[in-house]
Amino acid sequence: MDGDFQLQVRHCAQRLSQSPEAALAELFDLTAERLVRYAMSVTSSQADAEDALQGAFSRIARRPQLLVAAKLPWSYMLRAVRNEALRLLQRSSSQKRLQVPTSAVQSTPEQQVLQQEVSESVRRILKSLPAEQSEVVTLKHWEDLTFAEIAEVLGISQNTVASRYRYAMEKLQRALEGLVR
Amino acid sequence: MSGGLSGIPEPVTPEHDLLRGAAPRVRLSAGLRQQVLATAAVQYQLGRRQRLLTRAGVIATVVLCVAGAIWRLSQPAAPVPAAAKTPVVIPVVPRPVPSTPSATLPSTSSGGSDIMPAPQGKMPAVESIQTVPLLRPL
Repeated sequence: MDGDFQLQVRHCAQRLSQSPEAALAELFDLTAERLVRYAMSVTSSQADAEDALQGAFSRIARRPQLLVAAKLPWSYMLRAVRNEALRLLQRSSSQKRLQVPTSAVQSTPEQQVLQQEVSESVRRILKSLPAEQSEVVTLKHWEDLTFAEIAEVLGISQNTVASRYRYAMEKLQRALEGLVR
Repeated sequence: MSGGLSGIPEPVTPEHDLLRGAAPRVRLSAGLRQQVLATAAVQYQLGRRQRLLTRAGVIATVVLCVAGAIWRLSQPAAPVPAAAKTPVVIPVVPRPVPSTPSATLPSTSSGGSDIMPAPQGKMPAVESIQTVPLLRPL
């Protein structure tokens, strides 16, 4: 659980009421990549994900007091991006393919290729799950959220989150058996 | 990683490692930062102006309401002018007008002692007009 990251988000959010423009810039630097990554899991398109990020930041800037008052600012931001992403999906049924640039890993070229292939396979398997289950797994493993925070982001109960996660992991364990060494 | 509802740390399995390793690294488009922050700055100013206008509107409304109430309460009760009086017609039940000594009525008595005397003076009016002051408007 990356508590430091969430603490930094909280500090930035609290600074919004004093120096909004500086705080927004800091918040962008801190969260943009993660928010776009999460939005991409909803939209399957980096362009749409970036639009969702822009929409979410505009809304936060327009009413910063909501983020300042939020109990879980990081969950609030994820929810804002999710809402924007869903709005974009409703507006345009975008069929763009997910094109994720992967970072250079400190390893041999063979290992890099292998790692890339494994990651692609895992992402494909994750995509094959029902959307609501893959979303929970994404938030849990990519964003390191607790069930309570995921429940806050998705606007559902913790029990629902837990059961979706359990079903998803059962399927994933079966599907990932071949990849686990 | 805190796990389920109980908060007990969840055991990390190889599947978990695979899932975490599959998290894509995002490279943001060039110029996105400037674009987002510029839009956010504009939206912040718009929001600020909207909040100020809303607050000013609420304050103005409250001030106007209070001022109106104070002005209304400070007004003395004005005397009602005579012109405001409206004539009201009150019907008067007509009294039976005695007719001439009724020679036509059959008399039960033998004498003429029960013959009513002839009316003296003028006949009463059938209806009279009386002025009633209107209620003072609130």
